[in-house]
Amino acid sequence: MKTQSDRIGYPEDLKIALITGATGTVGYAITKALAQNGWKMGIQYQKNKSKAEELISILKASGTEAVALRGDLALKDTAAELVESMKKTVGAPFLLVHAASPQATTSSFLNRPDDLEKMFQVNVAAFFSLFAAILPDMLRTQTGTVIAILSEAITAPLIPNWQSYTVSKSALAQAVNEIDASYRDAGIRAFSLLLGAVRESTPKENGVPASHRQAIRKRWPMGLAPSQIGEAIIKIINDSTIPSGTALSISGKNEFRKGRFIGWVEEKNDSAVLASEKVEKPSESGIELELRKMICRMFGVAPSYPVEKASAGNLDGWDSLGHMRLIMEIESLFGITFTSEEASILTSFQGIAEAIARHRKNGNTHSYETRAHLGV
Amino acid sequence: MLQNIGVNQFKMEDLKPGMFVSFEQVLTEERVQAFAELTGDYSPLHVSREYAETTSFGNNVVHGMLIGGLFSRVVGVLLPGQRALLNAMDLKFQKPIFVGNTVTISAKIISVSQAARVITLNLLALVEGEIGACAKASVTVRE
Repeated sequence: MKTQSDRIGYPEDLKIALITGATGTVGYAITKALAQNGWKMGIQYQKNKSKAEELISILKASGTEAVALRGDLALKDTAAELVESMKKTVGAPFLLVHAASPQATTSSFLNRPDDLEKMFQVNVAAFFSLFAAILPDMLRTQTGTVIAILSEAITAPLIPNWQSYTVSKSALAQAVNEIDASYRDAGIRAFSLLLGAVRESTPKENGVPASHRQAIRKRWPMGLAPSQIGEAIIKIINDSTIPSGTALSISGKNEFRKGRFIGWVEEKNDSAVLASEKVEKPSESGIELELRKMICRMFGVAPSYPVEKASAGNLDGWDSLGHMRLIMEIESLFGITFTSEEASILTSFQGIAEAIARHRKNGNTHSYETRAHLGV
Repeated sequence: MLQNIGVNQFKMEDLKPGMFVSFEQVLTEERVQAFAELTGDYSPLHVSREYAETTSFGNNVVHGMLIGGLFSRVVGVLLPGQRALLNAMDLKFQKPIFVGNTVTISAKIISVSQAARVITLNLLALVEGEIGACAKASVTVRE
């Protein structure tokens, strides 16, 4: 059940984020976006000390509290140590963005099994270890978000011999699903963010054949500006109407995929707009149809019942309690917030349909997803 | 004696998504026994140490609905408190909670419908950092 009031956001004292791989193009952009939105930061890096120091300087110059955390996520104990260090400085994190990953070089798991092990350790095991270390504080406050940075490469095996990378990222996607299933009821949200080719980040001549680079460019011709990724992260965090467990795909293309991929970000004027906001809202007749189905379902009447003549008092079950439930369902499904005064007079099908149409016409609706559009 | 933690009197307009409360309680043998007497649920798993030790649990398990009662306490005393009228609760038990455990009960408002005068709360029962039970509650806030 969602209402406009579900845009809870984060309490100020819990806006503390841990970003892994923060010195990479993606992690760097995410870190800067979070800093601009008032987050304290722990930035993990492995090798690029100068880049980490540069990032810390930028953050501190802008008034952001931040700490650099050096550690190799390929080592088993690193995750817990990083979180402990962070707790002693900026505080326990309530947001984890896992952007770290070994470089996606060509490696078949047949001829380079060590690569596979390392990919799994960094992409999957370290993610779970980090989550385990930050979970107690998240549970204690019923507040937390984890976001795994994945690649659209896992949706289609377009790049031969990227198995170690794509298989481990697929496992990471499932890790997000598992966390969502286990902890959604505790107020912890988990997301996957699938990226297409990112500008300034395309694999160069470090073991990636030209044919692979061509395949990448062909598949994702527009490329993503890193800033778009930062914007998408902010959107995910701040809009709690986006269901936990969602996998969002940023490709610069307008594609809708099945299964758990229910949204995308279009490249539009260099700003990221979650496509769930661009889903075609129901037409006038669509509103009445949805409303009709809702009333039939809620009050247990057959589809043939003349719902358009229904009103409180002439429909069994549409009493004060039934009316309250109906108002809440309508608010949730149509993304509307009624006032108390409005709700008290919306006692007929026609009146409700007109009120919904009026709110839509006045633009008084918020981001929402209808079951009809999502198929969930 | 139950710990008197006061009764809040939040009005509908006071309530916002994100509001959060929590408290701890030790689930003593006496409390579990009192619950059994109140409800008539004398299942030996709850009240007989001898029997419990023969099961895979090894210890007396606290009644699930005792935890539900603590959730009810949060709603009726803390958030929103006196004006609460519980409409529905979807309660899930995830791990057994044992006699002697200290449980941390927390509640967070996740949605507010001013029009319907209803709030929705996420409720958690944590034991040693793990989820023992969770619930979603729909609560009307009376005028």
